[in-house]
Amino acid sequence: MEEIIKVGMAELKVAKALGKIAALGLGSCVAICVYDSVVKVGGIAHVMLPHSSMAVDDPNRAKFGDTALPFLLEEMEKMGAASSRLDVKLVGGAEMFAYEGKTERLKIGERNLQVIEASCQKAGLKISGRCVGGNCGRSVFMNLENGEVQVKTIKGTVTMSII
Amino acid sequence: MIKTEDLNNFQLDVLKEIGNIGAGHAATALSQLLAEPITMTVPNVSIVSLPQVSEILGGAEQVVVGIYMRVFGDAPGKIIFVFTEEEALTLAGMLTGNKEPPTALNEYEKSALREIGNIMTGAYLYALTKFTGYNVLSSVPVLANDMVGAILNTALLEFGIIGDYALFIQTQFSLIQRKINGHFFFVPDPGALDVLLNALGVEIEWKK
Repeated sequence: MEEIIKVGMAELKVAKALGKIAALGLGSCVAICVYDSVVKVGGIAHVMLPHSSMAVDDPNRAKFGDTALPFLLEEMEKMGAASSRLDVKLVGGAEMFAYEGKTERLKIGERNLQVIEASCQKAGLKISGRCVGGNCGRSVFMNLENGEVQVKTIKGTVTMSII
Repeated sequence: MIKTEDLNNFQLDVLKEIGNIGAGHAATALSQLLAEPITMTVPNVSIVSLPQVSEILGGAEQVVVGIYMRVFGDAPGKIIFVFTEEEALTLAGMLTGNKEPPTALNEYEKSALREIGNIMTGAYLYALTKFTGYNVLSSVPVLANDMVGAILNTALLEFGIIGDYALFIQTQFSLIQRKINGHFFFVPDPGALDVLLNALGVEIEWKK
């Protein structure tokens, strides 16, 4: 059995090959998956909510879309990754309880994605793969050996390689 | 706003009693509807750290059927029923009068399950309004057939605003003859905890 490091809601973890790092059962949460193929370091931030300003004095930067990416980059750099080599993929941001024909007041999934996309742009990072939106739950597994990201839904599995 | 991790045992017992009375009414409604005996467990008030949320019903990736409703009014929140896929199929078969349970849910069966959610939630909230004196209403039900982790993570999101723990009042009810175990979750919005406790005359101590 190979080792799988699980990243729970509002957590952020960074690891070096071998093995896998994963976030299971993403609904409207978004997993930011970052990988450096030279040092073989990968990390996932399991983002819950779009803005840190929604909370009062919350020290957990992994929880929010606007603070998670800078935090993740810091942690990646500590492990020897360089921001110029990073491959970024986004997974999640679904609307689990979609009312037909109506818009829910809080489209958290969509807002999470918007904020994270903006945050990537600000950091000058290109997003090489997305498996986002819709209304299905997802699990994401990153292979720390080659940076491959596998997304599982109840209907099947897709794999995104690094570009 | 009271933080979930600051609740004392007495306050937790009061929340448990809310769950008990509400779920009692909900189980009675279901029992009358199906004309079958139903048992329920004593409710649990669970406070779970956010990373642990997806493990609540035995693993994030287990496929379940969840019926979700928003609760509006003085004590807003959410109500979610969770059945394993197999149990949902059996229940859908019962409701639509089929002898054999279906192999996948069609629109008609989904609608029947949503209606079960609606009826039980109505009974739960009626009990809640009765003894708190507050007004609460529910939205139309939505059904999701998906990973349990994704359903629960999404339902408990708002607790992320006030801290690192989520709170929910959970009851399990069982149709013994059919071996169906449903999980009923009442998730008060973070701000509604104070409201519920106040309504029942429980003082809230503020911690700094």
